[in-house]
Amino acid sequence: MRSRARWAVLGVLVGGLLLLVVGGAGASHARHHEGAGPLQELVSECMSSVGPEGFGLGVVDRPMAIAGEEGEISVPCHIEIRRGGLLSFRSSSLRTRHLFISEAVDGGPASVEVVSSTITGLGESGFQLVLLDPEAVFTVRQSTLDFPLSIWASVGAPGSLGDANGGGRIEVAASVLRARGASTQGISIVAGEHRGMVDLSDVTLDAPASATKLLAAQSCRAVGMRGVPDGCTYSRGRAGTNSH
Amino acid sequence: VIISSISAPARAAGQAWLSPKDGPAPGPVRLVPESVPDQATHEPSSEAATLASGQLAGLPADDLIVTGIDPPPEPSYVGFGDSITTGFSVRGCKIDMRAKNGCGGVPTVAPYPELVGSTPDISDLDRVGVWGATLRDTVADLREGGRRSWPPQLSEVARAQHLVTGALGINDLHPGDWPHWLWLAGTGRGPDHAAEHLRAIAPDLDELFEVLAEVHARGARVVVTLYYNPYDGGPCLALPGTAEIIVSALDQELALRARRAGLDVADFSLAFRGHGAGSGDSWVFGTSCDLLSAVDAYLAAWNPFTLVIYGNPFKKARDDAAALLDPHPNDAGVSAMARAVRDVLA
Repeated sequence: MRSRARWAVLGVLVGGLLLLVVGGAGASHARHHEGAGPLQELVSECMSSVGPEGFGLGVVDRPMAIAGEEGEISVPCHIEIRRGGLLSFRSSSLRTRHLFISEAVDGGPASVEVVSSTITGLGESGFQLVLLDPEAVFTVRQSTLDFPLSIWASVGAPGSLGDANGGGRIEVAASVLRARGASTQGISIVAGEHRGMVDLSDVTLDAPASATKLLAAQSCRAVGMRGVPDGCTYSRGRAGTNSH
Repeated sequence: VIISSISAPARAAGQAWLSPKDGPAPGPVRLVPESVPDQATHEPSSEAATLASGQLAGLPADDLIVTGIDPPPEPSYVGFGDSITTGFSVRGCKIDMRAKNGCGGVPTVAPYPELVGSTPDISDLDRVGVWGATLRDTVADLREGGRRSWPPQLSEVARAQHLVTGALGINDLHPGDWPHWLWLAGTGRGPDHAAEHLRAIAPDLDELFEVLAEVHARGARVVVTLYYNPYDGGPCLALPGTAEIIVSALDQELALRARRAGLDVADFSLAFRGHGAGSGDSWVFGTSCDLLSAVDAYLAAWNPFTLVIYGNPFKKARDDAAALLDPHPNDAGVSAMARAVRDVLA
């Protein structure tokens, strides 16, 4: 009996300790949400800079790694990446109105990655990412982008097939891209038809049958796709399974 | 041909212009202008604007009737249409719907109707084509007596004495919606989609050709101009073929209707073969035919992000993309168009 009581006391002590640890971690996580993380900085920046056109502006002028954060931007937001910076979402969740991500002109190649994260559009909002440098990269892995109006990603330098044009790389894996609103404009994933690459594997494109699902690049590969029976719409380079 | 979309112009209060079918336009103010407004400035006179808006001090608008002003002379030649008749490039057109042809300033190149109209046998030209004009809006303008400070294009066409040239319809097919068109073309559904668009504007085409046939029946020569593929001959993956689907569908319809009505046809499409953007010898202002230019030009032209795009430095990059893809005819292009029309007239 005495031994059993000792174990019970020990159990209570250990349990309490565990609760403290978990509770402490929870408190730390909550503090993070209250404004310490880079996502919260970005949210605040956008919310506090709404211009006459209705968009706020968030500037990324250094590598910005958002990890383990949640946030909501209740206004349309333009995130501008300057000086070839990096914007990374990892294990994070963002809800936002229209989200427009671009790189500053002559800013150098930007990179945007979304890994194990969810970015969701509020209302009839759209997602648009345009990176104009031939070396720019957009990566989505184990993530969901869900915007009712549109998901547009255009990476590379427009222009007629010269050495300074084209390029761009878009890689999407094990992810869902969804644009299912009433007035959806569909999904377009496009890199340069000269030296550009689009690589999609195990990806669901979730949009109405009549909505645009444009996948195109010089080298476009689409394997293990769901929701896009035609695979790549255009490709000059090597074709993978379910692409042409 | 449209690169950047424009909103429908606001209806000017108290329109003064007459529809050929409906007689005097209803409204509180009737104004018969002294002359066709000055084409050099593309602006109606300030007096006309004041009268048209019914704002003469102390006079109730309902009682205001302006008399004693001669009607404008009937033009010898009327050139109607959309942006490809204006002589402006994407960069050159400062969109201004108060201006007669929809752009402020001086055209980038001489519009082809002016080249056609420079021949001795044509005494005067009324160039009424408007940047961004759709067939649907143009026909609606005719029915409703005009929604701009200028006469409806087709009422001017109806007044032509000797020659009419032009076409409408390409903007009704929304050719600037490149992501959608490229996807449809790449998945084999482009021709069906073009046919759907043409079915939707069939009643408007009926009205257009009714007006043209009436002018023709009065003895004027009517030349229906077919659209050209502005990316033909470029080394690009998808855009030349996609544009061909759109242009050829509309051209077939225009040519068929023209032949049925006994009208002449000038084939710009044939004239521009191999001279599109991205080719070695481009007859359009654009220099590119690649997918990224097309998608970026679309994104610049219309979507919810346009406002923010136009409000920040990124605008320049987008403007550049739209200019790279500019389908409007350059000097060589307008010359080729004028040649094609003159060949028909010869």
